[in-house]
Amino acid sequence: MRRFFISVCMTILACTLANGADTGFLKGKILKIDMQDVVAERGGNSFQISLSGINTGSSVSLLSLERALEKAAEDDKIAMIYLNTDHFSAGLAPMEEIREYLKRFSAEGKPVVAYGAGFSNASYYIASVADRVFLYPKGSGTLNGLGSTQFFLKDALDTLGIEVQLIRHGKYKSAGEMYIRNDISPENREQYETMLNSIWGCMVEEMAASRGIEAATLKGWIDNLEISTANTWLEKGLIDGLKYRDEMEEYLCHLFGTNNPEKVKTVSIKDYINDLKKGPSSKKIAVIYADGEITRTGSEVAGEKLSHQIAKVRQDSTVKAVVFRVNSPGGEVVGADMIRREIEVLQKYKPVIASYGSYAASGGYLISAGCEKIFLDNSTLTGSIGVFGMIPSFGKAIRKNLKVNPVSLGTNEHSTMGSGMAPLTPEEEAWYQQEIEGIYDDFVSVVADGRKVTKEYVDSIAQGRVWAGKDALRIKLADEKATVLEAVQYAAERAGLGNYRIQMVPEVKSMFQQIMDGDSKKKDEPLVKDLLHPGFNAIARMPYITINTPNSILK
Amino acid sequence: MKKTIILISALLVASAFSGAAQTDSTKTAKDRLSEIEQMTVDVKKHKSTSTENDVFEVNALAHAGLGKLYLQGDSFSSKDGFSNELFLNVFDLAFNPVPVLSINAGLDVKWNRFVSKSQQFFIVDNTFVAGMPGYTAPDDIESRLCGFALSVPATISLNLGYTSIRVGAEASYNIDKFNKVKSFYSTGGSNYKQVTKGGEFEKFTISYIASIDFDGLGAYFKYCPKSIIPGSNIIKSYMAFGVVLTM
Repeated sequence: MRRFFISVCMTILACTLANGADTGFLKGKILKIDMQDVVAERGGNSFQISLSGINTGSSVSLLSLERALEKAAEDDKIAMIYLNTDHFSAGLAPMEEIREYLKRFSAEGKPVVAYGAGFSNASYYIASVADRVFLYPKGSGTLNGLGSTQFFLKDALDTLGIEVQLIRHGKYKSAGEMYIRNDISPENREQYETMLNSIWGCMVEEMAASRGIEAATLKGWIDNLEISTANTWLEKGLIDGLKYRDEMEEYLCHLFGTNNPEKVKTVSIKDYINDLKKGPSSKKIAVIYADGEITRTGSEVAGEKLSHQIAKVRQDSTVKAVVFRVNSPGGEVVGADMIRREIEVLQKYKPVIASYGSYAASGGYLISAGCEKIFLDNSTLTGSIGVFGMIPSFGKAIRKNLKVNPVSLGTNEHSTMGSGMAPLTPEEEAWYQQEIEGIYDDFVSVVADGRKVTKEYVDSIAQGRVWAGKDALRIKLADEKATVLEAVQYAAERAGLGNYRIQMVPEVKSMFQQIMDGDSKKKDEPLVKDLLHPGFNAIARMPYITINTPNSILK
Repeated sequence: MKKTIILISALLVASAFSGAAQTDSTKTAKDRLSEIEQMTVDVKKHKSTSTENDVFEVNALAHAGLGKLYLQGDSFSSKDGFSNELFLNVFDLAFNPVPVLSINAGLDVKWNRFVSKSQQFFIVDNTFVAGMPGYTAPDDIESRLCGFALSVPATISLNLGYTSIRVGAEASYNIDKFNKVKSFYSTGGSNYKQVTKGGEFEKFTISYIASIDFDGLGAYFKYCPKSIIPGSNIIKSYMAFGVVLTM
């Protein structure tokens, strides 16, 4: 009996000692994440135009942010994260990834506390993952779901006398529909509604799970506009309290067992990122960014420029593996194919892993479909495997409005084809259609080879249809849900690297460098392009989508 | 053997429990917050920011003091002239392993002034400069030995709220000296003889120090067991009492 009693006492004592470190006030620093900083794919200085105005300032790279959050979870000096969600601005996929890392930080037993003056779909999506969510007492905002507004210009163009011919393959290839219709087509409506419901469904499930609410209940509140004032947020359990900023400061001090704010140490996420170790320069993972619309020349994702940069990565022996981070809605087919080809060649030398951001659709999908692995997020928009071309003609418009009569002459029957002064003849239209069909067939072949499926299967899921990430995984357009950092870690594993340095391609330029480089873009364009080129550019681009949420525009 | 088995079993069970607690998901962080929110923070009055302590601190001008010296020699007299010292801290390094304990080391600049009426310090040149007219001899003679020193104090402090108690030692390097003999006359006038090459200070001395202060103002005691004049028993040792201001 005595021995049993001793063993029980020793067990209790040992348990107490083992858990002793987790009891008591927090010790360490607060990692302060102020979401006023724009989270961009590559970071650097930004010049952002949105409906709320023009914003300039530095932005934080998503990859660096994820590295910092992952490190902070294991860093004994970091006790908690304080998240200010005001002025949050980021794409859907970056938000999803940031949320994931905040969740992992919390899973280490370290608290995340979020605070906002008001919440919207975007900022609450991020804030809801926190262990404590506080709202300014006079704050408001609502959750109202994702919406999208499209504009159809046919009547306006008819009034002006502008004629547009849309030549496409894919009933869902709706990018040019705004010019030829007055209303959304049934196929377009179907794909948009599926896409938005897929993304929002995931967001609602995650928010509800974080707050311990049934997803259906939350959906009901949203549908009935029951979430409005600060008190309703609190009553419904969507937040944990209402606090003014001074009360928030007191609360944070309390967590550290003091009433003196000077004793509470903080470190900003930017400073924490700056302290991240770089790793050896002899072993690198190159993260090549295709961030933006694809053109042949003259843009950040210009086929000629990016393909040249990819070739340099191929020749760089210190780069052992590559992550191809695509955040592009597509663009010009020729530019996209230049990039695709360089990636294909690069894969013969080093493993190339694709990681998708908010979009990797149409041309953005074309350039990366051949990568050995494709990672994306639930909210990524991808697919849109289709091609279209648009031929506007302004002859009627300038006759009608400017009383100018254009007369075209040529050496051959179709010399003025695509000049923009007259619509295509049926013969010419058929010719373009043939071009489009050929490009589409090539696109389907690339996808079939890359994804190791049949062309018939690709055609069945293509037709220009845009898919949200969760659905894209189901139909094998991608392999796994993963963040950009996880893609880098996978690439490192594939290359057998333990310690490595991340190299961003293209490198991040300062605002001054960007301004200085502006003129050089014009030099890349051929001088006689407009005279000799038939004026036709095959476009592989997803539809223009603006997803509206209060206080932020997510594109 | 049985006790060893019991102990190992207890540790394995403890590890399992602690491991389980830590692998729990966000609930663990939420639970921690719930516990902390229920705890009470002791509202303490805080001392001035100069005594607020991080684990390591570097301060400049951390303290200053003024003290009266009591010289001890063959002929010691408490009224044997007013000897004093004045010191000012240059920098101070503090190691605060726990809030109530500090270990300090630093650098002080000190001015020493040893005065004796009864003893003539070692004088090389005793040339009389000038005397008061009408007097054959002065009523009073005072010799002074003065100089700067660089001191390195090392102390351990016990910090109890506003009160700090320090004990330690101080090593001094006496870097300058000059010596003079001053003659006083009853009419109030005085003249003196300055000895340009006079008594030498002991280059290195060590003193023991103790102090107590309340909210930065306190008193100190110092004892130097060594003669400050090498090879001489004129001043065998000295004590100092004074005030110290901790900033």
